[in-house]
Amino acid sequence: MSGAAVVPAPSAPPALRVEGLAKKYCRSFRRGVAYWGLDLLRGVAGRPMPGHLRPDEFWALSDVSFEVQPGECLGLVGANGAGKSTLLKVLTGILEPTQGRVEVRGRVGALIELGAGFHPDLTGRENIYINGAILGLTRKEIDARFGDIVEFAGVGEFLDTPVRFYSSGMYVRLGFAVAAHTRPDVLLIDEVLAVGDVPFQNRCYERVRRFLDEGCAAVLVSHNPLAIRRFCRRALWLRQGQAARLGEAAEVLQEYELQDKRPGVIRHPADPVPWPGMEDGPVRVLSLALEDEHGAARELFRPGERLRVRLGYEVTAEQFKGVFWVDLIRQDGVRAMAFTSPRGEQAFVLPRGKGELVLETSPLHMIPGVFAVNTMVWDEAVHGYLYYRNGPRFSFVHPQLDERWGVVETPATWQVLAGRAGA
Amino acid sequence: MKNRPTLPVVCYEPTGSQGAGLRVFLRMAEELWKFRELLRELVRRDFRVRRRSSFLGLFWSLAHPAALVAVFVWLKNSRLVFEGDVGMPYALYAYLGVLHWNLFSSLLAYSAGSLLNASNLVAKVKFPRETLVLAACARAVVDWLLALPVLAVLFWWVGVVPAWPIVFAPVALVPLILLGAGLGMLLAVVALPVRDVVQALPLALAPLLFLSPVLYELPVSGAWPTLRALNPVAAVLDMLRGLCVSVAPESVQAWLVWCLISLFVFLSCWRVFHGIVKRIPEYA
Repeated sequence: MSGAAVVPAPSAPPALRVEGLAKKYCRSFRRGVAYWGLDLLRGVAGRPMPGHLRPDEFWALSDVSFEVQPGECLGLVGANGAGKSTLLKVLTGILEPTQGRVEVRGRVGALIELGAGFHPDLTGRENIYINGAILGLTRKEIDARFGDIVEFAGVGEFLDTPVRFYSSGMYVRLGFAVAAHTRPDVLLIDEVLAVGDVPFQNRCYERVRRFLDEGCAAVLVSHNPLAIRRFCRRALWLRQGQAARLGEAAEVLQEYELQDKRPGVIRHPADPVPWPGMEDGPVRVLSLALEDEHGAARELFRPGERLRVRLGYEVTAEQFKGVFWVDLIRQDGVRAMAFTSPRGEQAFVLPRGKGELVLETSPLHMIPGVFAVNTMVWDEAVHGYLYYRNGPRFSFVHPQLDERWGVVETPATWQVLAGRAGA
Repeated sequence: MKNRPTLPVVCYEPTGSQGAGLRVFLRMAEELWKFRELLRELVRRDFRVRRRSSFLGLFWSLAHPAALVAVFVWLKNSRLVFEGDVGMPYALYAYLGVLHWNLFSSLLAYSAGSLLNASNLVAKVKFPRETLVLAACARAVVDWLLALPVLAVLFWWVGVVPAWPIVFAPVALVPLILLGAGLGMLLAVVALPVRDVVQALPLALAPLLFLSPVLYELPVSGAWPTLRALNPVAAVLDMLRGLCVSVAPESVQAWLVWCLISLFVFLSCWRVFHGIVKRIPEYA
């Protein structure tokens, strides 16, 4: 099984074609119902729908166009509320477009709502049939795939137990298993691969990969850039309902992660979050800036370049003796590197007032990704944080490598010792 | 890679005209037919859940009409309420009335809540929404079926041997079921954005119960005959009770008229349902 999906020649008809798609929503429930009623009357009277926005209305999607070829997986990224789920719902046919057009070739499978229609009082076996029927399978089809579904879900011994007593993992696994056996031609995936334990996640990923290899087209919504990079050659970045960028997955992701500040701060899970009273401590970090070794501001670095972090501080106590940390956190929360100022006897002693600390790394050799530069001030005397600050992001690019190559790049040598048996 | 040359293409566009007349009904029926297995599964699910989720399970379907009729038989025997001849033993009369009134009112009540109760499903999965309403209607019919044995016992108890036309009794229910399912669809689709419908329904049904010959015969003076003629429940009950004893020709006529009206109501409600249910997920 190769890493990249099979992308047939563009002459093949696309499995999914979206043209000028727009979806209007109303913020106010009551107004929405009223507008709906008015629209209905308009429709009955044969008058055209209003093109403008009435009070409280907004475009949840506007002018979105793309195509997905059979065997291709399109990544869909965007902040919360950017319209990703709305788009998927329009693609499944649950929501009707306000404008534009969606063409789907073949059967749509949606890994959106797992375990749809499961009833807690019914057994796993019974729920498989109901869920399958809701997803459009006939009883015969379910009979034929029943064994596979049970095996995939790994709920064998609990098959005749009401799903009420299932763990949440088992519940979702069963839901995924049924959805995964609908043999779709177009697969829509909404973040569901993030469920279950790691072995099951991997099974899900494998399953999706197999769908793609079989020529199924897919749209994958994920907040995990690594998942997008893994499956998708192309990605679409939705920002406030509009297609901010459509293109090579790596480029789209890079731009999205740098520019869209809304996904929140990138931090290590164990790091503190800024706490009340933090600003009243003896020391504050006023600014964090990134530049290269020549002092030019940068947000993109290449292999072999040095990173310079300029940290502006203010000491409000008489003097301050402590340790500064600067961390590089990758977008998935991995702490890629950490630098501390000298500790113990050599710790900086800073007088009252403002000043700057400058940290310069040795030449960086990292694997591409988006990194946030965060800082912490540590009080060695009391073993506690004095200050925490999320800093700017930079993107590390590499001409050859991607995240499959690990976290850092370091040179190594090989030796061939022919004729010697291994230990 | 599989070779997939001739996959059907589905198009989603803003609906303008959906094509006129019967063509739309054919499409609606075809879509529903494709999901007949879902309907079956939903009915089965409902049945199983009700059987399992309480100790007395399905017993409750017959407990309600039986208890109500017992109370009214007692009231009648102690001459507290309405005297007069109903043309057959009162217990039988009342049970026939309550059983079918329940059928009609639960058709409406179950279906009115059907989309609302499944709003999560409606919001996230695509399938013909009619199946939910029809499954709710099937539930009401199952209630009716389960309460039938009591009716048989009642016949034996009061010593009435029903005339042979009783085999047509299920056919006599047609207007009731068509009306219930049709209006039920309408209520269901309106109930999602306008929840008031579910609250208002019992309020609307209560007066109808008192205006129908369910537990007592209606007066024959003044405006009553007109009211009765406008009442589908009365038409069906007259027909059913007639089938048990002897059918009056004018009740057959009224019943036939109601058959036509209910068919028309069902089809138009279904059409309206189909037209507006597409935007329901926005409000689910």
